[in-house]
Amino acid sequence: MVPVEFKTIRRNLATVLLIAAISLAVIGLALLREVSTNTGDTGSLYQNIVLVSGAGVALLLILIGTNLVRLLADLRRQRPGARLKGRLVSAFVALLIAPLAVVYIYSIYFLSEGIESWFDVRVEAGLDDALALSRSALDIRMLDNLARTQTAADELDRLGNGVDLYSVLPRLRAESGAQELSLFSGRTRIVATSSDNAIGQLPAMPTDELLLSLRRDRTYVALEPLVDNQYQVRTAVLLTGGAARDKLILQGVFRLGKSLGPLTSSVQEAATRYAELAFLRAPLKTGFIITLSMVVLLSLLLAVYAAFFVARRLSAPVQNLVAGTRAVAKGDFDTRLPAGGRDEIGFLVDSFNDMIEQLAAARADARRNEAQVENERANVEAILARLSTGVIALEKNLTIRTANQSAEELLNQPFRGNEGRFIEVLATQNPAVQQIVETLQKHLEKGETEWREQIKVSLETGARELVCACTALPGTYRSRGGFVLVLDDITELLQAQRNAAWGEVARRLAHEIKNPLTPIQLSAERIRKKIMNTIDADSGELLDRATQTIVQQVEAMRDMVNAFSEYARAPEMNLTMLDLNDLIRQVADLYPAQARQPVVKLQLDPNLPLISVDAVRMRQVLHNLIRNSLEALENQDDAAVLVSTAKVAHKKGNWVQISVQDNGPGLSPESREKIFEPYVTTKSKGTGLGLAIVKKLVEEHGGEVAIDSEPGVGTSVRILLRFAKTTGRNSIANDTDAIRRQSA
Amino acid sequence: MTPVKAETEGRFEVVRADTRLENGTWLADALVDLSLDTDTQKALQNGVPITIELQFELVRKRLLWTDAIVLEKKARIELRYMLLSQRYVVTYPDTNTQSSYATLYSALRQIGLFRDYPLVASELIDDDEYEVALRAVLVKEELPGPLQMLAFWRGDFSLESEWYRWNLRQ
Repeated sequence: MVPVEFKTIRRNLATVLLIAAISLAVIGLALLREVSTNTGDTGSLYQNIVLVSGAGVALLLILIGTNLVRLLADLRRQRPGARLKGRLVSAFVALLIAPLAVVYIYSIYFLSEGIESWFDVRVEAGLDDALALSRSALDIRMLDNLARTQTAADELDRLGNGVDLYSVLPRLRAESGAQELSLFSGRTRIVATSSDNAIGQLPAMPTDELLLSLRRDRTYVALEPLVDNQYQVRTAVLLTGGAARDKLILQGVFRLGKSLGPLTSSVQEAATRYAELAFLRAPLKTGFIITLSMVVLLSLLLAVYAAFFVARRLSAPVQNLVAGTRAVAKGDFDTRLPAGGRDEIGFLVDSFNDMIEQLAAARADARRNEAQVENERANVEAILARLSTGVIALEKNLTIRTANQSAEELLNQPFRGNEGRFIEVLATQNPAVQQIVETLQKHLEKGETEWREQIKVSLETGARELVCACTALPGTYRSRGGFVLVLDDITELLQAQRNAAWGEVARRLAHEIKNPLTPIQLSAERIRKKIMNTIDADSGELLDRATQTIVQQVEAMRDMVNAFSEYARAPEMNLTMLDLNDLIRQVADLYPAQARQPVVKLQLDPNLPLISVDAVRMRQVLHNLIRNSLEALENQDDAAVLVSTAKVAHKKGNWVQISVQDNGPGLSPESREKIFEPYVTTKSKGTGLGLAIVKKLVEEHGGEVAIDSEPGVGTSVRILLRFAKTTGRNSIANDTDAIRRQSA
Repeated sequence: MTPVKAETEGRFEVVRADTRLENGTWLADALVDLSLDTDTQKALQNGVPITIELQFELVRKRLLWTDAIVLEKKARIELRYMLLSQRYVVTYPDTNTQSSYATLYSALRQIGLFRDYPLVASELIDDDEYEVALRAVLVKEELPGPLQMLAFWRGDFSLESEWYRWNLRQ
């Protein structure tokens, strides 16, 4: 964009040039008119006038040329409004040229004819006749004067040489009526003179022309003009006496007289003026035509410049409007057009500015609303992301609209990235999703859009109890709503309820069963002691076996009751930073390789971080798991137990995984689902509480337990414990705090 | 109207010029050959007065610098044709004198005989070397406007002689 200062300077310069051009042209034309029509003396102005007028025209040409070049450049660049300006200029110029040309042509014609009409042939002929008549009258007068001079000369000749010229000459002058009568000897010697001039002025000397005429004709007569518009007749005759070189010349000077003198002067003046005018008419016409041409040229140039000016003034608001519209189309709502005038275009400009302001305000509102909506959406997303409840939003046609992270984790199914896909398609690859979809479709078939149902879904990590609630979304004019599925994992809740129930049972059993066991055992032993010696050997053996059985069963029952007590008991957690590898080694050492006992192999990650756990609980977990495996491997030849540790990523966190794997007979899917429940066992012996206690203890640490098992291949129990990645072996305190928080 | 003969070319030429000291004044005499071209003659014989100017320059010669014009003088002579008396009138505005002639030749010859023109008083100039320059010019600015226009556009009435130069003290 051109800087404002440069634009202002250019505009001012153009104005100054325009004023200068107009002034020069007008002054030049005024003077030119004066000079062209004035047939008198005009001094040395003409050249300057032409230069001034020419300079004015040149300035106008420069201004027009500049405007034309700018217009052509604008047209080439297709600047807004350029074509309109071009059309306006063309139209104005076309409108100007035609009448101007007509006026010019007719002016030339009338000018020529008008000037010619000044000179009438009859007037010219009359003037020539007047001149001839005047000359004839003057000739008569001159011849009369010559005759008078001749008479005087004859008288002098007759009187001879001895005559007293000083007395004769005045007489002869008076008789002839001459103003001056002089007698010359040759060209320069004055013999005598007589004049009516009292001052005594010397007589006019004979001219070469006079002498030549005398030599040729012996007489001379001429009408001579004087300085003060007077005329005199000069006559001269040769006297007959005297030698050839010193011939006497009698010269007479006659005034024309009071009547003839002014008339002669008047005729002379008029004839000269008319002749001059007649002679000057061709140059005069040329002068008029040049002046007229200059006027027309100047008018044309001024009009063309005015056309540019008017076109610019007219097209400028339109140009601004086009530029403003383009800017608005590109999203620039800061554009404001310069205020228009009081005409319709000005009204249009004002309306445009109002419209832009309203658009800008509307857009600002829309942006604010959009930002607000975006904020709300972000908040909802953040809330959804942090919810432990899974949320899946579906369209009416059961395509996925959105889902949160918890939903993905609960169902072990990525939803994000699958937006727009039918949930049925995902269900074909995921049994848990399949169960959800089947439940949803079941209710939809019944026409139920608001429902709540507990669903047990099967996952790789085991069965989960989910409460699935469905709500219909309100529809809009664009979409007809959809559904929101809210999934709550109540597995832990149910487990806790079960645990609480079992704990209660355990306490009651411990209380109700444990108390009579000791009297039973003591009674049995007393019976044996008292009766053994009183009965025969066979009966004694029977008694001994029976009491032995009672004591053993009471012991077994006490163990069972103790186990229940252990299960129900929940002492306070005592978290310390431990190296799990060390703990595993300590526990594994308790199971040395023995005959018909499987080998416990270790595969421990040396880079395992320290982790905050309750050592007693964790030791029990490990014992339970290893013992479980060993019991499952009893009487198996190639039995082996592998305890391994590793760092794993799980649920976007950092976890330590302890895996206890055996190559035993494995579990059926039904057993696998219930294996962590109390009193569930696949072994011939045991309380069925081992894995239930493991699960309980691990969950007290905020960890997870999963079981993978395949009949005939083996079983693997995985324990996952969370640790903070930022905490290594050197940041025990932080890690401990973090785990404490999780436990809490 | 007086007919004009076949086309002729005008020419101004200073044939001779000199200066002489008389009564403390340097007087200039010149012989200038003047002839008018056809257009000028035609204008003259149609009543248009023409003015001939004898332009004098007194130049001080300098050895180490450009010459300096110390004096410029112009003597104007007006020539006009009287239709009634059919005589050419020569007027000297400086002295308010005039004379008339039956032929243009006589009138131009009279104008060309330029005598006793007081150029400069001797006390006004020092002993340096001075040069006098003279040329004769037809004064276009004295012509009527329309003729000036022709003179401007077509170069008509452009009559002037070369500069004739001589030492003041010959």
